Amino acid sequence: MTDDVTRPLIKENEQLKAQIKELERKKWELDKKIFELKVLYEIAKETTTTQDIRSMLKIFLSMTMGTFGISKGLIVIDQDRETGWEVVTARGVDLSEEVLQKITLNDFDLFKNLTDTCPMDSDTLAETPELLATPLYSWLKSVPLYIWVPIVIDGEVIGGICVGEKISGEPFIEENLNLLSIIASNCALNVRNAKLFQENIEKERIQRENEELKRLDKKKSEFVNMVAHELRTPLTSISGFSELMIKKADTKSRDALKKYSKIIFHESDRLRRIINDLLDLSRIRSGKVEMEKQMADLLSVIEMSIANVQLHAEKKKISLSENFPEKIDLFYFDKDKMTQVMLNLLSNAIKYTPDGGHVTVNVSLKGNDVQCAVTDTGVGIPKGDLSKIFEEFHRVNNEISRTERGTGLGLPITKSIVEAHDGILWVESEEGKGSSFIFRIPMLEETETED
Amino acid sequence: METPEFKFSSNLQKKTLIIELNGDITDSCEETIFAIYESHSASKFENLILDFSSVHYINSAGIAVLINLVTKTRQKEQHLIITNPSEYFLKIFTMIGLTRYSNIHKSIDEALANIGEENNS
Repeated sequence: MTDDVTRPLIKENEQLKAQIKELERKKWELDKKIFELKVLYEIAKETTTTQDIRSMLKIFLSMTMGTFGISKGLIVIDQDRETGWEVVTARGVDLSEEVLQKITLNDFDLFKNLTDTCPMDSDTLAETPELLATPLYSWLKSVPLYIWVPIVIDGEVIGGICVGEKISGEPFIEENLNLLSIIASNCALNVRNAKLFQENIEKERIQRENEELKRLDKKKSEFVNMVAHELRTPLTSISGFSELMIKKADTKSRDALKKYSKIIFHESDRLRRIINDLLDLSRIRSGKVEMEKQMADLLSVIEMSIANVQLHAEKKKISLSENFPEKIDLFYFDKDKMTQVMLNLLSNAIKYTPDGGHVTVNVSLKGNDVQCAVTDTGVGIPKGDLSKIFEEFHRVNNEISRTERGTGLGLPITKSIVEAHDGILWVESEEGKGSSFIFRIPMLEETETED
Repeated sequence: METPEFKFSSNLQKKTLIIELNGDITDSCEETIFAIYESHSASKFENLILDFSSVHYINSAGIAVLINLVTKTRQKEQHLIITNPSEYFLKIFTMIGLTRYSNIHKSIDEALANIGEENNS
């Protein structure tokens, strides 16, 4: 009787226990799947943080190995057509970096045709004689079981994830291989995106460089045209008046011929100055003219320059005044070149200031810099010309510039000299009221200059 | 959301290096963890305790760091002991086989108390 009652209960109990065990197993499997899904999400998330292929693949490999509990693995990839396949990242691999670098393109030839994820043992590899002597084989042989997961882009194997056995000792089941394939697909997608990203960056860089080259080429052509034009003007005068002298030597008066000779002389001189200025500018800009910097007193350079133009100013009844600090420490600069800067700025100021005007030179200290402003009460510069004032051969279209022709290179040379002293030169002007040309240069000590 | 910073503290007692991990364990911790491990290598410790009581999160790359550590300790014939893992961490460690190569304890004290016995067993 008792047996009749308990036997079914025991049986039921055993069935329940088996069901619980089965449920526990299924829950375990479910947990594993949840973990794997989480990993896929993590991989997708983590790998979007970088566009650098090497860093990205490093994350891929460590996450893949962590997911399955694998202690050895590497990722090989066809980085570019020239260098071919290379081991981009490896973990737990006993091969030294030196050996890894020796692994060549040929080591991976075997894998190029493996388009599916597959387990392979070292015996399979041994069937490929050319692989036997490679460093890669020596590693593969040391791993009892490994899985090759190809990274495929557009049907072409461009690399692969190669991993060793699980530390749990469990075999890779089909579901694992499927997950590995999904990871590799994700990897392929990211590699392609990263490559496209890098290609785009490279394309943009080349485009920028091309545009810059085009701009420079255009500027050069414009400069050549300007130079040709500037040289042609005095040459036309020289040629024209020479011809006139030859043809009319017998008929023209002595005074007329003298006048022609004078014009030829002045135009030749202007031609010489233009050529000299062009050579100067070109040398300064190309850095071929070394600034002969020495410890010197800028105030004395400025005072000497003012004295130099005094006579010219007096002729136009222009008053010259100065406003200097008591003392400026000696510092390193090229005395001759800075004299050239001052003479140019002062000559321009006098040239563009009508008779009876004023030119003032203000010098002040601005921290470790010295600032000098040459201000005139001249005709000023129209707004539209301000941005072009330091360009070669640019002349403001006014009566003075039409009658008193310079080379059109004084200001570009001045600016280049100031810049060769690590300084800046700029202009502030109001048409009809006057202009200020201001430069600021650092008061360098010799050691700083050498550095 | 900002990732909590990874911190650690370590000390050596009873030929055991104890590393108390704090924060998130990801691949970015690898360098630090191995630096601590290597910096104590001269003391020839026999056991390594990794304490997880203040670990909030570990991702698969972080697990790869632990696997790397397992490989290292096995090569040097050291015992790896994990203390205070949460239920979830323990499940993960079991899943990937980490528990095959390490002993698990509820606290550092418990681990230290059991060291002699486990090493001899």
